[in-house]
Amino acid sequence: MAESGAMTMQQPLAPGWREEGSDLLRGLAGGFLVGIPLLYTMETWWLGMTVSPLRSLIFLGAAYALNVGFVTWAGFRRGENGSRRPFGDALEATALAAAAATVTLVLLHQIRLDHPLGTIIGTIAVNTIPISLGVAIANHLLAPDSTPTGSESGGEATDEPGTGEDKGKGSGGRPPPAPPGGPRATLIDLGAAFAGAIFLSFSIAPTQELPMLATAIPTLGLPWLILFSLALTYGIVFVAGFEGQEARRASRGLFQRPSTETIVAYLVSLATCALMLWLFGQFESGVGTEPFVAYEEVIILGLPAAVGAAAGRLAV
Amino acid sequence: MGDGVGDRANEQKRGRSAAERTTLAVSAAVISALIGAALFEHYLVDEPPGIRVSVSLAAAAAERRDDVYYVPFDVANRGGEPAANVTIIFEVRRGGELLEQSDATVPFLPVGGSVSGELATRLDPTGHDLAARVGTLQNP
Repeated sequence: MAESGAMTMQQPLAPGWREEGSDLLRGLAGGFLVGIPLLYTMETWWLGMTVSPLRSLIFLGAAYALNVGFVTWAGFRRGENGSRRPFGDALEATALAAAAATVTLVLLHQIRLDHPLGTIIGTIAVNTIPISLGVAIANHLLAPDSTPTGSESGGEATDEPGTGEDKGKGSGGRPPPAPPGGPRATLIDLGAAFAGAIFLSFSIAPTQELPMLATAIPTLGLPWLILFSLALTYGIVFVAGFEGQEARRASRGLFQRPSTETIVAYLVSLATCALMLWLFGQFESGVGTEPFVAYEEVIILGLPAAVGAAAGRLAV
Repeated sequence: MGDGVGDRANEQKRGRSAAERTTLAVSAAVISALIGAALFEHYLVDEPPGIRVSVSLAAAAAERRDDVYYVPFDVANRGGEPAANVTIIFEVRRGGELLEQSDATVPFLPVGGSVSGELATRLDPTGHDLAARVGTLQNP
């Protein structure tokens, strides 16, 4: 596949900003892994639309209180088995989750500008809790790379396959496992993406939320959803600094360039979604019989599937 | 990586980097905005109590497609509480005689929410009286 180089960052950020960016991305990855099924649940949307402003505040307060406990135990910052600044980090986890929930629900058309302010606040507050818990325990969901700076190469993604020198760098003096090469590496990655996609989207595929979302989301919203899925999964695998990131860069399979791998894994996720939706009969009844609605359902389910595929590739 | 007690103490002494301070400030601003908006809603926005669902039928905007007339309608909840499973009943009459009755169900109407749809009828709206009303609803 030709390399566009679109994801190449020409001017790397200063180390502090890179580290902070990868910390936040790691938190975001944990947040989506834990919370995304609830973002696809109509009862959660409706609960958010029915809660009073004061109850929204209670939800936010509960999210913050729980996060103080969870970041103390796990956290999302590199090299920290538990936060050293739990109150500040819990605030960041809560805000990051609120932002992630807002962006995702806007993309899913469950938060709209014509909604009353109280409805928007309630929807964000209710959906912040599950995502923020994932943010707060991100280090325990997928092992963080303990290298102080090594994984920051995420900020310097060159979109090139790893060199021999890469293989010597890794987890604080502990050499990363030797990456398999060639077709075997590709098969392992494709299998991991397939398994991860199933893991996170299987519980969403048979629900009525998918046809509801497919008919609610405007057609022009779909490209944004696709771009969001691609950017998020690229960040999770190649920027967030999870353990295995350097091994992925050094891997020599057919698709092991960051941008190529991201796109191929996304396509695998979409194919997995189509297979699951067909298996659950979503294409055989109701609005799903319309080809375009079926396509929309695949794209919509593609977001959690792509996140699962990213986690799956990091896990192998 | 500062696993030891000394390293931890050093980390705490060094404090947050500029990037971390920026993230914390933005996070505090985000949470403050959410809290402020919730307090604004609670103390300054008056919403009428109870569910207040209204239905408007735009007979003048009806379109004929394949011998069927499609009449746009809007269902809105202007009350202070949400409604679930709102049933809308449509009636088409001529000279007081009921010729056709149909219904539609809106699964959920949040506070301030509205839903649009179309009534499908084979009777020409211009020569008939069309009416829509709320049949039943549930408290979610």
